[in-house]
Amino acid sequence: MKKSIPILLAFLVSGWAWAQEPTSGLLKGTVLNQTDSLPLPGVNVLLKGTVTGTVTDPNGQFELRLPFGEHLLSFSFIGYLSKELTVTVPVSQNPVVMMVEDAQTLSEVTVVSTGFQELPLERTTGSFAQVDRTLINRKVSTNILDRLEDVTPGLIFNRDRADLTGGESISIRGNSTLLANKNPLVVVDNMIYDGPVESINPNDVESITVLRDAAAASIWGARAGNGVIVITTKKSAFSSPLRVSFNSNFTIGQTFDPFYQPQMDIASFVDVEQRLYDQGFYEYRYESYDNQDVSPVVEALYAGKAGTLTPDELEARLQDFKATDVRQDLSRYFYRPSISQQYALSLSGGTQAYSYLVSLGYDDTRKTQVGQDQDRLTFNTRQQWSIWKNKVHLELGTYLISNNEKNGSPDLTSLHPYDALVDPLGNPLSVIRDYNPRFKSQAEAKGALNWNYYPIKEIGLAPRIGKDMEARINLRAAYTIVQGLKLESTYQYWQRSGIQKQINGLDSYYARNLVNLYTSFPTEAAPEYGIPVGGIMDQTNYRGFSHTWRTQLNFGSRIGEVHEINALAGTEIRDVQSASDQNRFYGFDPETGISQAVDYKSYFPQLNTGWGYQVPFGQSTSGSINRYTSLFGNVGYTYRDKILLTASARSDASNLYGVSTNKRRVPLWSAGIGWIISEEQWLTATWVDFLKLKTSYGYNGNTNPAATAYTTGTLFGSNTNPWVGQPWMSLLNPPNPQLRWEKIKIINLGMEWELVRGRLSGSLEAYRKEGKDLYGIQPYFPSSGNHTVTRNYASTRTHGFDLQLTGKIIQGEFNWNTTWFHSMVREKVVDYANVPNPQNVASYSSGRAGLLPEPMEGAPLYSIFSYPFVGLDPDDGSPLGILDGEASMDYAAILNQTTLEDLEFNGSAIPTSFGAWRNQFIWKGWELSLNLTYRLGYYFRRETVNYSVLNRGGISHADYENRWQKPGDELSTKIPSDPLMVNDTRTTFELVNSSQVRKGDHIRLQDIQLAYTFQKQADSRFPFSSLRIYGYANNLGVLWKSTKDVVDPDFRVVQSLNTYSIGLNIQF
Amino acid sequence: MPPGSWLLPPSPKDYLKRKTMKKEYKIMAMLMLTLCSACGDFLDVKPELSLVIPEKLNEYQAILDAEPRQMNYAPKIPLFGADEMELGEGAIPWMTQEELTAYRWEGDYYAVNDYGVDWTYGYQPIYYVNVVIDGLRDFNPENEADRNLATRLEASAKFHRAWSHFQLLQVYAPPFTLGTDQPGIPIRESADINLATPISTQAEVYAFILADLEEAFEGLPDFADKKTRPSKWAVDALRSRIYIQTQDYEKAAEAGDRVLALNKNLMDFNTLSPQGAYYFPRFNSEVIFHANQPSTGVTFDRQQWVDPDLYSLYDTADLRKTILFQESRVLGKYNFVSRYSGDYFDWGGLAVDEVILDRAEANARLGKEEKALEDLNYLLNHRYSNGFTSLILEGDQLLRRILEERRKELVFRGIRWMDLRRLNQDPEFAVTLKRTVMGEEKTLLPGGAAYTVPIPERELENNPALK
Repeated sequence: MKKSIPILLAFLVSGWAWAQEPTSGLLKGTVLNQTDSLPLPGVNVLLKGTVTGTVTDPNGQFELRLPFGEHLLSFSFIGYLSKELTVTVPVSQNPVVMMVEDAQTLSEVTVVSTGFQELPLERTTGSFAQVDRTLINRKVSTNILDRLEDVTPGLIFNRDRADLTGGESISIRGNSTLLANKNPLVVVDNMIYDGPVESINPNDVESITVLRDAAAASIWGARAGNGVIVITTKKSAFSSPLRVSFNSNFTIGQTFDPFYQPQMDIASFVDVEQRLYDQGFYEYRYESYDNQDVSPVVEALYAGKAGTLTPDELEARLQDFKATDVRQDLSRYFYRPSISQQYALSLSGGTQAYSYLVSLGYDDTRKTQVGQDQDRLTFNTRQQWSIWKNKVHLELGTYLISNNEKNGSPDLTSLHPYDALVDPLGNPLSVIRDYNPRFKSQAEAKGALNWNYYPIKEIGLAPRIGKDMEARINLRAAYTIVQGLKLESTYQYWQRSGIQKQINGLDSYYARNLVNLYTSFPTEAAPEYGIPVGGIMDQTNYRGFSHTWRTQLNFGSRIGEVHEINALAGTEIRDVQSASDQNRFYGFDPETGISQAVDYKSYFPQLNTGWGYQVPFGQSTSGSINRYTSLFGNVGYTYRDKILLTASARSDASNLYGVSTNKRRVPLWSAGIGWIISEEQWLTATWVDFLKLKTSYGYNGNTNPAATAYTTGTLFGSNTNPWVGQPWMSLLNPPNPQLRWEKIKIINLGMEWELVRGRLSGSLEAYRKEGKDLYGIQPYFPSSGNHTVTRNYASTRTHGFDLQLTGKIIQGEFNWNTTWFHSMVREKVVDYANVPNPQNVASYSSGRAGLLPEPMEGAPLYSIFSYPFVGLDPDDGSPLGILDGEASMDYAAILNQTTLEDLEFNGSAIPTSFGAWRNQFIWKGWELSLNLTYRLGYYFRRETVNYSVLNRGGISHADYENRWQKPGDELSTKIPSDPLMVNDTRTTFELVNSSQVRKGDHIRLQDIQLAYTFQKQADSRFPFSSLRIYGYANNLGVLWKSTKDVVDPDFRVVQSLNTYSIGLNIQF
Repeated sequence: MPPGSWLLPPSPKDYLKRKTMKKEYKIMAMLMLTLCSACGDFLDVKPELSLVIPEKLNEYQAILDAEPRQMNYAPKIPLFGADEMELGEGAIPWMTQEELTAYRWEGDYYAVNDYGVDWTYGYQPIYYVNVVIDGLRDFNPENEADRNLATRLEASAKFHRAWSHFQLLQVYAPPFTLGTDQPGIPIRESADINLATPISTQAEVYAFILADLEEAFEGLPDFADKKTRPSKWAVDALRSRIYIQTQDYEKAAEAGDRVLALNKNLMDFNTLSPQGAYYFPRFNSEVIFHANQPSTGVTFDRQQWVDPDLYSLYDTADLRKTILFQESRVLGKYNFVSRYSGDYFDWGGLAVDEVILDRAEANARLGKEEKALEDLNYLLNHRYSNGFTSLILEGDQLLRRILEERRKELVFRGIRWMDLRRLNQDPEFAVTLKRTVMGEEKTLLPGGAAYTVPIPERELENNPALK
């Protein structure tokens, strides 16, 4: 009884007045899950009709001091049916309450992870998109991020964008940066993942949470600008029996089709080359100083002129060229169906104080291009200990990944459209490459190595081999100081080391070509070699590692029935380093590993020009160190389980050079508020299970390591400075102390609901994002020494919404579940420091690589503007633009004089609406699921013939066949006539006018999954607890598109290949 | 244990245990303190091994050695604009708008926002050396060797700055005319990119250049260890070029005397043997300071011929006719093959032969004809086949021959362009240039507008000092 006095005092201190009867007793009880008898922590225990109550501890136990007498207790827990129990205090026996999962309502509690804490989705104010294990496993792929596509509202995979390189493919709720890092931050098991995300085996992943707004992501501070993807890997629960799971699948993919890209007829191209030849275009090249190659057609034409070919022979040769298409040989010899296999085995289990999970995965991929293979082996262990009366919790995860990659496919870019790669008997043929065959045969006659290039023989002669090993160790210790207050420290060590080799064997063209170039013939008999005869091997060793140490203090307390506070604060320190060294070995013999010395200093006359060059030097080293220290905190307060308030903040400092704000700690913060209306007493509608309104406000950041406040330079070795022969320095961006970090302000407003006993659920979120101080490259006055500068030059405003609706339409023996999400993103530039230049505005989207969009106030950052096109000139088929209100062919004047107002605004270049509609049908053990996806409200500029390329001797687009050829054609075609000469100004106009702008809207059948599951019946002799067989087909094709003259609006250049998988999943 | 279980509320009695937790708090606080006190050093490492904030002498040297960043740049427009080169129709499609306009002497040089290659790469090295000059201002040498090196680096930087300003004047400012002060170009003496500078007069720019050269001369050795680096030898060779172009012949002759006193060795064309397709090695003995013109659309072109009038000036005993040129595939057209660069880059540096011709011309104009003739014969003796008999010329004939030899000797180096701009002011030597471009006859009169290339749009649009 003495104990009660301090308790009373404690409550008084807490501001509670609680009149206590003089006689009372301590009620102790346990709450268990009825299905597995495991303790249920977190259950609300409430004295019915009062605010007196408590919550069960990790062991499912609760204590409550109650006056003597009879009381009605109610037990409630999300996802379980509420239960009431009458007790009489003092009790004769401690009650054990069994709670039943509520299959009708929430089938499971959705827990989202921010990487700092795990929260029930219902209790959050931020914007989270959760992809659970079922959804992850629905798709078959080796890359985990692929599994997010078309199932995550607000997240889109960008396709065919000229300014993006590989990897920069995901945008979450639009784009918020131009020059800074464009990738979302990937977090694995609570820590920033430093390795390539491709290394993660999807079979090991339990769930993925995508953080979309400031309230969700601002705890990641300056790294959160592009959104955060939090990946949680599997672990075993305590007290669970041994579980063995095996998953395997086999995927076959469509063969790459070289004919996919529309290309003009070979015969037409041969005619163009002949015309260019007649115009004297090849004169300079045919006998150039450096013995450049000309195409086989041109070579034949000159042979005809010189008389080495008779007119009949020449004609026959040209006919041959017209009838040959290199793409046929490519299809036959260089492309094949891709095949990939996946195997994953995992064992897990645990006792009350220990749990373990071991998983082994192997993936093997044979890509569609011959000679390209890849495999990955993953081995993970994850163990947990709960010791010292469950006060200390330890976790150890080890993750090992081994990757092997091999690319033995030769370079195919230098082939001519009509090259034949084999003769009629199937023997490999050589093709013209680099230098003309006249020069090559002369050199060979003098004693040079065979200089021919046989694409088919090259397969495997110069393989690029990559091997790497990755290891990650994650150690976490948590100590519960008192219940509700926990100190947690996590340390992660990550390391990746690997080797990349390019072994150009002696027989490879690369080695023969380089040896020959550095060969001279001072005397007839004895050639002198600047580079020894032999193979050439380039080898890069790299090693990267990181240490991350995070310490945080978590506080969680429920004060009676009304107030609940959860808070965390901590520090994180990170050190990420990488180093690589590169080496080249000349005269390399792969058989013995022997290489030979070369003279890097002397100048050797090149065989093709006679000009002196040094032997290419292939040694270099590089290294980088990135360090960060961060402070972070997060507070959540819940009032009566219905009002939620959250706030979080983080500040980062790093060793990134320069920007003064990098050194200063920049705090980024957010705040959110939520209201669970369904908890309100007055809401009596029984069909409303759950209804929440929420809103949040805050900032995420993005850094640009290139921005600097000091003059910085990069040092290069003397090998790259042939004239001076000394190290030299290239100055980087000029200093600009005013540079600021990019900040993204996000306001989010959302509603979540669940109705009619869980039959209908969904969420709707509307948001506004303001990208402030975006970096961009601006033209500058060159007399400053810099013709461009990087500045904070634009601000953008994005608004949009993400809607997700889930319906359990039919329930019973036959189930039909449907999920639809629709995301809308509207971006516009609201502030731009410069007056945009009309030509630059229209040039982005002209298909030229490496162009940054020129911002235009009021339009999306990525948008399509074009010069008005008013048809083709009836007399010569030239495209007509508008100059001073009149149709005109004065392209220079049109390009220079057209004002911004006169440009046509076509629309956004990226989808403004997209979504997916997924339907799942379940009948007995069968399950069928289809995903329809769509992208709407965007435009692209269709690829067409480029006459400058054509008239410089390069093959162009199939539109050439539909070009204007005679008066009258202008009525039926928009493809201009061939100007028969290079006219760059006209070509520029052709690339930026509106004639080829098309709407990108389309709907596609993305994928279908069909599965059958055998469940072990109680008494059957079926050896597994479950066996699931599944089939999956992906990238099935476009069902509807708004533009008829492209095959696939999103995959115009590189086709999206169909894949078909079958697989097996066994649980023992 | 389900996720988030730490959220579980404590039982009330736990509140009373707070006092016992003080220890943990202390540990926590110490931990955080340790972290933060370490922050200072921890964050001071540089993120990239190769990344530097230049502040050491070897780093300044590396900036000055940035040949790959146009530190030894000579403009390309002079070659297109002068009467040295003829281009076939096949070469035309490969030229940029700027090159074509310079070649045909009419039209727009720039598309919207073009930055002008010679303009931009003329000013870029100025920015680089200004970084060095600004940086050296705060440099405290630790010893004598450092002090000497710093002096030499500053002198080198000033030479480069003078060189670049001079090159820019020859393209973007009207021809220098005695007795008038015409607009020049912006002078850049600071690396601060926020500082916009207006156009100075030519007198101001030349004064700036000569002042830089004065300081450079003091700090430089007679000869540099690399021919890409400046020296006293180079300073006077540049002065010689400047004084010739500004028609200060007395000073030109003085500068020439100093250059040639240091070294006046010429290659004897009788003893040259071909090195592959060309005759001169890299950095041949006549090279005083190395500079390359950029590679252009026609650099490799077989249809880049020497102007037929120029070619016809070489007589048969002149070894330059066969050493410098090779017959092309088109009958009667010749390609220029042997350059002082030692490869295909058109050259634009300073060499002994130029200074000899400078001094010869200056002396001829100053009436020191004997000296002039001596230099002329010295040069030709090394260019004509063995048995060359010295010329005896005087007065106008001597000057004309010297100017003709200038044209024949200093081919494709951009010097002819400067000479045209200068000599056209003298009716005696003024010439009208003619060429046919794509079937059209083009003419450039003495003093024609095409002798001054307009300042690029990007400069005019973005430089607040020019608005």
